[in-house]
Amino acid sequence: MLRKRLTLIITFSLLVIGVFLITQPNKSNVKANKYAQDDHSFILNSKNGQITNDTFKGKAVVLFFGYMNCPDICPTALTDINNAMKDLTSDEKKNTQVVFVSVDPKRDTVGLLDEYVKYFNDSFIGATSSVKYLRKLTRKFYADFSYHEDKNSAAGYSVAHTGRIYILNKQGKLVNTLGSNQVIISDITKAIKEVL
Amino acid sequence: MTNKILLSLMLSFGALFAQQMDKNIEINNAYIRQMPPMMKMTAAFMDIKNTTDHDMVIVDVSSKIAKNTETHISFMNNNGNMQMKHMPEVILPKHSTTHFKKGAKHIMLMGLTTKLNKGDKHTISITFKDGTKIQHTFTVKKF
Repeated sequence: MLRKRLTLIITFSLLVIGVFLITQPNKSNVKANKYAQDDHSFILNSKNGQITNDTFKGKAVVLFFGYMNCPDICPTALTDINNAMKDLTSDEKKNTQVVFVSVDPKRDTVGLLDEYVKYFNDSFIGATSSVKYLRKLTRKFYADFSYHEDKNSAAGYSVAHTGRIYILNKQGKLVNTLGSNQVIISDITKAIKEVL
Repeated sequence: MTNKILLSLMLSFGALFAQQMDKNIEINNAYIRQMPPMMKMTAAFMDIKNTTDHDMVIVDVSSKIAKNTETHISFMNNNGNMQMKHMPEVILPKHSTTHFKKGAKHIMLMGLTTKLNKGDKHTISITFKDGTKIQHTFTVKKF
């Protein structure tokens, strides 16, 4: 009798464990699922005209919000992204698009932006829009920006902005983000390769 | 004759003092970031060591290659965003090295008066609260 009860308990326990394991989400998809339901579409202005997610369908998109009069975080991020791309194969490079989105449209025209990003890599695109639209767009990416005047500085105003690197997959969905400050270059490369 | 002796003494004293100041402050890894050619501003970085037994305070920086030069700091603000602000004074604690580096303190050079080519060397002057001043050579780097 005792043996029968023990067998029943063990069998039932194994069944419960089995059901639990089967129903756990695949860890490799957890990150993707975190953002997958959100809308990360964009419509931006570049030197060559309007760009949207559809413009780059079939490519990985690496997106960064910043501004040109940033002497530190932004050029560092663009340099790091460029260095990360050096470890991609030539096909992977062709299928990756970096978009630098300026949140300082007052100073950063599309013409200047194009010239600015081409210094880091010929394939990079610089884009911007109205402040009103940029506020909506950055919110979609859980990012934001703000302007800060300093009357005691010749810098005029500076722009505080979220310093994260955003990775969109070939369908234009945000699937990963990396902090740009002290980022490990190979992590950016890995994140790009994961979506290609 | 007396004036000449006095002048010689003053110049010698000045040279000795400058030499001592150089020993008090050691600067290494001094470089200026090369930016896209149309940009008229950039940042300079360095490791600056205060070898003395008292804190030293940077109150001014200047360079012939920029109309305005200031000390700034990049930091993450309360909203989790990266922000930059002017630091009118930078304290260099005694017996320690302060790193002016990416994502932290840096020297802002604004209104550049010359093109920055990789490898070029330019002087930046650093003035301290006690009135002393040093000059150091920074190399332009593309990174």
